[in-house]
Amino acid sequence: MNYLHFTEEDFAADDFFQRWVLEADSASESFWQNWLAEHPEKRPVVKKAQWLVQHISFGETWTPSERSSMWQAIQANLNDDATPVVPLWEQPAHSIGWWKRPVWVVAAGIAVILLSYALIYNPLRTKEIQTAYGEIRQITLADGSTVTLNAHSRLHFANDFLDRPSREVWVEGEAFFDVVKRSANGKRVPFVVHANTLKIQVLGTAFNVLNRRDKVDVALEHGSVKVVDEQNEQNTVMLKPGEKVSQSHEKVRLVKQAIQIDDYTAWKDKVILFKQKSLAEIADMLKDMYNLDVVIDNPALKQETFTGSFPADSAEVFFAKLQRMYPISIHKDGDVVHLK
Amino acid sequence: MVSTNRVMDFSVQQEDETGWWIRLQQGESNALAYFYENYADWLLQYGLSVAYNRELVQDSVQELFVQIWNRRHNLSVPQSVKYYLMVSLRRIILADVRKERLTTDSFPDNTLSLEQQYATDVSEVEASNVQKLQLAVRSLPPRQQEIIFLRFFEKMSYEDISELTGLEYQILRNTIHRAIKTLRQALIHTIDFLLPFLVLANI
Repeated sequence: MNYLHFTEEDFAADDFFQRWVLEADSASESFWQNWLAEHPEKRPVVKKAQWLVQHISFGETWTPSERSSMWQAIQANLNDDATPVVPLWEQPAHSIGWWKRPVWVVAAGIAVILLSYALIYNPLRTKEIQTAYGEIRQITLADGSTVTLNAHSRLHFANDFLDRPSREVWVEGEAFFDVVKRSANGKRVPFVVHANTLKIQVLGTAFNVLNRRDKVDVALEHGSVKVVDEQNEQNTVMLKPGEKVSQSHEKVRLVKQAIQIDDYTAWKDKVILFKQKSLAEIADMLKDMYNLDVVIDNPALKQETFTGSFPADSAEVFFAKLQRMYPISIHKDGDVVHLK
Repeated sequence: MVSTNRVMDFSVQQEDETGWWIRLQQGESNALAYFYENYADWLLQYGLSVAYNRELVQDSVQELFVQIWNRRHNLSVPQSVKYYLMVSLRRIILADVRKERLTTDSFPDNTLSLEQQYATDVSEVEASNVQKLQLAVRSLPPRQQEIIFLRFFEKMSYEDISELTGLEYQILRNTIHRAIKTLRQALIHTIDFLLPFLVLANI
């Protein structure tokens, strides 16, 4: 082939030239290096063609919400012989069914007795909803508001909460609230969420409450909320959409900051999203949500960060990704996962 | 000559994926999640090259994963999962395009999200030029986009592209030549501006 009169398009479109730029195998490498040495005046043209061939790339990604709604649509269409609820982490093959363990039978018996007692005699007449590890559940309240309860979380409220001057609920763990406006006798009925010592007062709005390990985060999607520390009513913050407020035992005052709301609410679409989270923080979260004990055997790893997402029902994907990012070995011993 | 073992190059973690595929066939939906997690974005990029219509690609990717799961008992273990996904997605998209007679050669709209991150050695200047190039590629007619994707992004050989698309070598060459010409035109100032940097970076 006589390349002397080639333009940059000709080079870029040439099979053998592409092979050099894309694969750089020894045959093409030696040919083109020699050719360039013989024709140094062609260097600019070749460089431009090379740039073009090298830089053609495709970078589109799904948004977190597209990703999760697609995954939900897929799950909804899977044939029924498979259970769409995925075991979070494979059960160890040798484990015996929980119902076969005597201690469980006794415990279950006691639970049944206590539960019937609670149902019949419960003086507070409260309703309680609790999610298991790895479970996400959506609840519609009597007023039409919806609550998405994250894994290992608890929500309770009075049975007659609709008839009270304010709609009050209590949450431990994590929940996303989508509250509808309500008025009775011409007056607005406020909705109040209690989390630890915080009181979150709203009218109609959507927000996320995270109440774990003595720390509360309230992140607002839309509408407006007022967050009051019940220990000190002076300590009050108004939130605007895209803001969050945190309360933790080491800080006296409530701390407000601007956020990306998706980072706080992706979980309700069954996507767990970590942005620059240290492995130590992630280990705490996996414990809280899935009861997985993640032991980081190498202390240097604790501060390594992870950015990425995985389906809420498949922590295995997370570990697989982690393993690709860091030179670590992951091994599982019962419910304990060791990172080395 | 059609070289079949080139298809092997397609998957970097062949052994790993074979294991996951077998688990999928055994009914572990975790394994389906694994492939979804790893290939969803790449399938978007390829899908858009076949038909520049994000909604259509979204439906097709969903259908692809549902089909794999529901037919898993009848599927064999592919030599390369990536190649299998590619061929299947292509079939689904083209069937939809034919069915709905969708026009797919629309100009990129603002939903186009360009790659935000580049290798650290790429200068700021060059990064924005790469974005211009991406936009220019996305403005090409669909068939050109697909062939550009396969040849330059996936580094597939002409033989393999020919096998996948059913297009002859000469047609592929002409298509690539035409596409490159358009790209060059779109980037004429960019590339000339870059030239001094390119020549200095003594590759």
